[in-house]
Amino acid sequence: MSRPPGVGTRNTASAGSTLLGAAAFVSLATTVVLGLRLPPTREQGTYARLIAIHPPLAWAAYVAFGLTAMASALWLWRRTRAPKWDRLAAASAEIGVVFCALTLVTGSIWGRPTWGVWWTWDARLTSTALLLALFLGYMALRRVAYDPEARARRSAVAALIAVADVPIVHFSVDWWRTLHQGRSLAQLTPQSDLDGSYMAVMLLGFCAMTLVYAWLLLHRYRVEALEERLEAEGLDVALEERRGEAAVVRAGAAS
Amino acid sequence: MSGGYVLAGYGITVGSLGLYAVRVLRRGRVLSRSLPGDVPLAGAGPAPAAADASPAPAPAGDE
Repeated sequence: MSRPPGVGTRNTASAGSTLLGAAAFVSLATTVVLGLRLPPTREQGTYARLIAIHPPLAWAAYVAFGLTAMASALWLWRRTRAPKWDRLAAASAEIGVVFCALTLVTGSIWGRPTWGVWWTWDARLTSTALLLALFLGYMALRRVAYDPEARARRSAVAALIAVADVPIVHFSVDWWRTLHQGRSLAQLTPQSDLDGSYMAVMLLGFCAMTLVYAWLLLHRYRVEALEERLEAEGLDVALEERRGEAAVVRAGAAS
Repeated sequence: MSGGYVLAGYGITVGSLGLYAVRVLRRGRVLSRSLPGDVPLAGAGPAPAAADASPAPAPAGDE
């Protein structure tokens, strides 16, 4: 296996990733600046400003886990099976775990002043915590099997099982009576009673987190490919060393 | 106090994403340097005859 396309010999950057990284940085910085300047609301005061990052973080986690599941399905299907899908699934899952953990942390920070507790066993919170646990398990599973084929197969099945929790998380606020407010994505409609500035900044937050995710995925995927290559080359070197040792032993026995 | 919760939320988010990004970039740099260079730095000129050395940045498609 050779170096991933467009990737340099000193790092995982390329012209495309630099451009994407700049767009991600600018959009995230703008989201933070505008989010911290949102006007206080009557019900929640300044706490409502967390709307610019909390729902977008959850969205990015959905996207990451969705892509992990899609890549896993493509690996499992014989006609499309290729190592790149396993690599993509692994890279996306790790980033998804980061976004999911941040969703829980920012949600907890928002919940403390508005609900009075850092944590409650609410349907939305519990199903999100379960999603994080499932994908942490997925990442642990990837470290168990040494054989790449077995590892890819087992983790692909695990990803397809784990991703079933995503719609449960998303619709939990509709299916059960919860403390958590309604779906934030449903607020992004012209009929919404959400203030225009809140809608605009939340929408910008969704774009920013999507760009950040895409940029991280590009680099993490290339790291995954480099790790595979290093693993393969390390094995080749070890085999050569063993062959060399065997040749010396045979030569000694013959003389 | 209300500003503290909001700042903590934003600070933890930006800080964590930044730390994770640095970790991924550093890992990529270490791995890239520990492998023999068969492709020049992106944008530094035409690649050698390697068939998969196109500059397309898309993650899928190196097979």
